[in-house]
Parts: sequence; C-alpha cells; structure tokens
Amino acid sequence: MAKVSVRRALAAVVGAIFLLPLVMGGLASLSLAGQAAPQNLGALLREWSWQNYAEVFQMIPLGQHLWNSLLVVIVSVPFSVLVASLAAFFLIRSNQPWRRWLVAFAIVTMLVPPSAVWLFRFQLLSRVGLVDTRLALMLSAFAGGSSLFVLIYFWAWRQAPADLFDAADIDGASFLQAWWQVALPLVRPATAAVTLLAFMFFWGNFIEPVLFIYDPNKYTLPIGLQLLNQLDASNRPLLLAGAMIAIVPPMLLFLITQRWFLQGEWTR
Amino acid sequence: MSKNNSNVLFLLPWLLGTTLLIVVPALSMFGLAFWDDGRLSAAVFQRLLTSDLVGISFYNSLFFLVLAVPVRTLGALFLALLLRPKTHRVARAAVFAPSIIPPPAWALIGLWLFNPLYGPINMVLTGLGLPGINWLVDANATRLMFVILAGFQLGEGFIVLLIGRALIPDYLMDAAQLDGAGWFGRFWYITLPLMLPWLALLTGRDLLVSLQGTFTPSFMITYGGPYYSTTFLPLLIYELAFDFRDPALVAGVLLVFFSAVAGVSLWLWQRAIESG
Repeated sequence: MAKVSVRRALAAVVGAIFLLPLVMGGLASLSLAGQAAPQNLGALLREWSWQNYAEVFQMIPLGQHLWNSLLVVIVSVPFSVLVASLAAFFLIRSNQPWRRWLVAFAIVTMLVPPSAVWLFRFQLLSRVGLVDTRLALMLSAFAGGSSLFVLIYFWAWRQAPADLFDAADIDGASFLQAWWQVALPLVRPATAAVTLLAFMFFWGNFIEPVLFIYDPNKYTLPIGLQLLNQLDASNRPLLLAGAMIAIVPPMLLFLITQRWFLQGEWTR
Repeated sequence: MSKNNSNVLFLLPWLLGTTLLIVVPALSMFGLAFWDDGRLSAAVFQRLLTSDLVGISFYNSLFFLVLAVPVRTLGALFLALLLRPKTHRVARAAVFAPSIIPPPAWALIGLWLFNPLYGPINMVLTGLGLPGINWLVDANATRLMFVILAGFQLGEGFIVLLIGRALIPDYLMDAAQLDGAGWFGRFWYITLPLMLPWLALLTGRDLLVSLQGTFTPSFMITYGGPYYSTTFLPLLIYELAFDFRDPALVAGVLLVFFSAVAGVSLWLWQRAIESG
C-alpha cells in the first residue's frame, strides 16, 4: 500500500510542476498593467482584471491575426489528415519492395531539418508567385503536413490484423471505401494524434510567416505575439494575455483529443 | 492489377508534395556546399573552420544538445514509467500540457518566468535565501534557460515511451516477479532492454527536434544574445541565409550538422538493435 501512495504523491508533484508555468502565466496575465512589477509571489494577484485581454486587441489587430491563423488551420488540418492517411493506407496495401522504399523515404524526409529547406522553399515560392499569400502557409498540408503523420498512420495500421483489409477487398470495396469504412475507424487514436499535431504545427508556425508574409493584413497570431513583444516588451501582463489567447485553441483541442491517444488503447 | 495502378493517385500528393517541398530544396541546399563560381569546390569547408560565428554557434548547439537531449529523453522515460498505470489520467494530461503551448507563446512565458528582476523563478530563489541567477544576462545561464524551456516540452517523447512500455507483454513482467525480481530488477533486465530501440529512435530525432525548437525563443527573446551565446544553428542558418546572404556557408553548416546527426542516430540505432 505504501508503494502505491508514494507513486501517487510523486505523480501529483510531477503534474503540478508541469502545470505551474501555465497556471502562473495565466494568473499574471490578469494582473493590472502599468504597475510596478510585484516584488514577491503574493503580490502577483493583489489586484486583477480582464482589462489586459481587451487592451491587447486595441494595441495590435489581434482579431485579424486570429482570423488569419484560423483560416490557415481550417484548411491545413483536414488536408494533412486526408493526405497523410491516404498515403499511409496505400503503403499498408502495397507490396514489398515498394513499401520498404516508401517507408524509408518517409523516415528520411522526416529527419531533414526544417532549416535546410527555408532558403530554396522561399525561392520556389517566389518563382511561382506565392510569397505573401496565405496559401504559402498552408502548402505543406497538401503534402500531408509531415512524413511523421504518414508514419503514425502506417504504424497504427500495422498493429491491425491485415486480413481485415483483405476481407474488405473480397467484399468488393474500393480503395476509398475500405479506407473510410474499415481502416479509419480502426485507428481513431492516430487520427486524434495527427489532428492535434497538425493543428499545433500550423497554429504555432513562426518561421514561415516570418519568411513568407509581408502584408500586415495577412499576419498570423505568432507574428502578432512578436509584434507585442517588439512594441512593449516590458508590459508583462499584456504579453502574457496575448500568449494565453494563443494557447486556448490548441489546449481545447488537446483536452478533446487526449482521451484517444493519451488514455486509450495505445497506452493501456 | 489495374485497380492498384489507379490507387497510386492517393499516394501522389504526399510523395510529390514532399519531394517538391523537402527533397528538392534540401538536395539543392547540400549541392550548394560543393559549388563555387560554376565549378566543384570544397572552399566552403575552409570558411566553416575560420568563421568565428559558425564556431560559436556549433559550440552553443553542442552545449544545448548535450544537456537538453538527455534531460528530455530520460525525463520522458521516467514520466512514462511513473504514469504507466491508467489511473494517472490527470497527471498524464498535465505532463503533456506545456507541449501544447505554441512556441511563440511559450517564448513570452519564458521571458517572464526567467526575468532576472521580477520573474517568479528568481523571486522563489531569493525567497529561499539563495542568490538570483542572471538569466538573459549571463551566457551560460541563458543557454541553461533554453534547456529548461525545452525540458518542459517533452510530450512527444513521453507518449512514444508510454506506447513503447504498453507494448511489453504482461507475462514477461509477471514471470520476472515470480522469479523474485524487485522493481529495479524488472526495470534493468526487462523494461530497459526492451525499450532501448524506442529510446534510440527518440534520441536521434530529438537531436533535430529540440535544436530546431530553439529557433522561436532565440529569435523572439534573445536574438542570439547575450554575446552570441544563444545563436544556435537554426538562428545562424536564418541569419546567414537571409541577412548575410551567404547560401554557400549555410549549405556547409547544414551538411556538417546533418551528417553528424545521421551518424550519431545510426550508431545509436545499431547499438540498440544489438543489445535488444
């Protein structure tokens, strides 16, 4: 019994440590702006208000930034899931040695450092006239988001009994029917994980708008946070309010999806 | 198999898109390293050795990786084993939460947490009667700050190792327990060897992922300083490519870095397979 409670206490401590930066940042975002920095932790919350959350929208066009970020994820996340899962389903249904080469291709392209493609992707985009368009920020979604997503689906389907798909073939189901009706429902944890990862990538994407977007009307939320930081770096409650606004959407998605990939059959 | 042929259409967006957006740009980049004024040349590697900025950046990155990768990988292993029982739902979600924070928001939170004057971390330290640390001013302290910021975002490794642990069949553990192995014995002789391939995979990937993760905070809150101490490779590559307009040097840096990471990963992977 003693061992169980030690583990439980340790889990509680660890959980609290990991939540601390978020909780403290959230509390500090409610403290009054323009006041002397608190000299101890108790003073952090002596007076608080939601005023910073209103003010941050007046200081920079955060509403526009939010809308642009939303547009990017609304297009990019579904396309990433669609393209990655279809490619992985093709892999799982294809024969050796094709499959081996394609999996190797996925692993190698997953391991290319993003900084290695910045320069030539910029050149490619300017050649086809996509610099300074929102499409530039969505482009990788049409390639499945990341080869990691293809590998996640591939791995998840590898765990499933292969004769299930053969049975679907015998029943005369087309590739698309087998994918939609048999394969996808089998791997809900993979879809939950890929949806969240893709959302996090496109929502938090900082370097691509820095490189590709110049028109302030097309700035996304990460650029908005950078603007706040440049305009008034010493106004900590305001910066934190901006940060909290950026955190809420992915956090909500995480709270919805986590029961599949973090608490479900994968981690039984 | 005419049916199979038309199915290739579903593979193509990923295959062609990845080729266009990743393979072609990366290969062009590597090619640049050997190309100088229209002919083959290795001159850029000489410039790599003589550039102070490149040297400092490699040192910073090595400093970061040597601390951050073990902290993140072993931290994720510890947490995955600790929170293995299914009942720890809340703690699992809590551990994952910092990894959900978008990089620019995490950078702003970090800027506040580590502020030497009014940040809560130094407040706690001085409250305990300890000296405050000169984060953002002292070079080593600032590099350490980046390690700590990266250490909180270990969610991906955490879940990979939770899955790896769940794939170890129960009967192995039960048999070991019957043989009288304590928790350490089970960890050392069963869990650890069976999880080595997962750890090797994570370590190799983290050499890239954790270093790439330094870009947003180093761009937003330190811009490489103080005294170039947080000019890690991604920021160096950005500066060389878009400020100094020196693509050949970028190519040289990337080639050395990618070879090093690929080499270490392959070596780790082979060791893990051999012992597993």
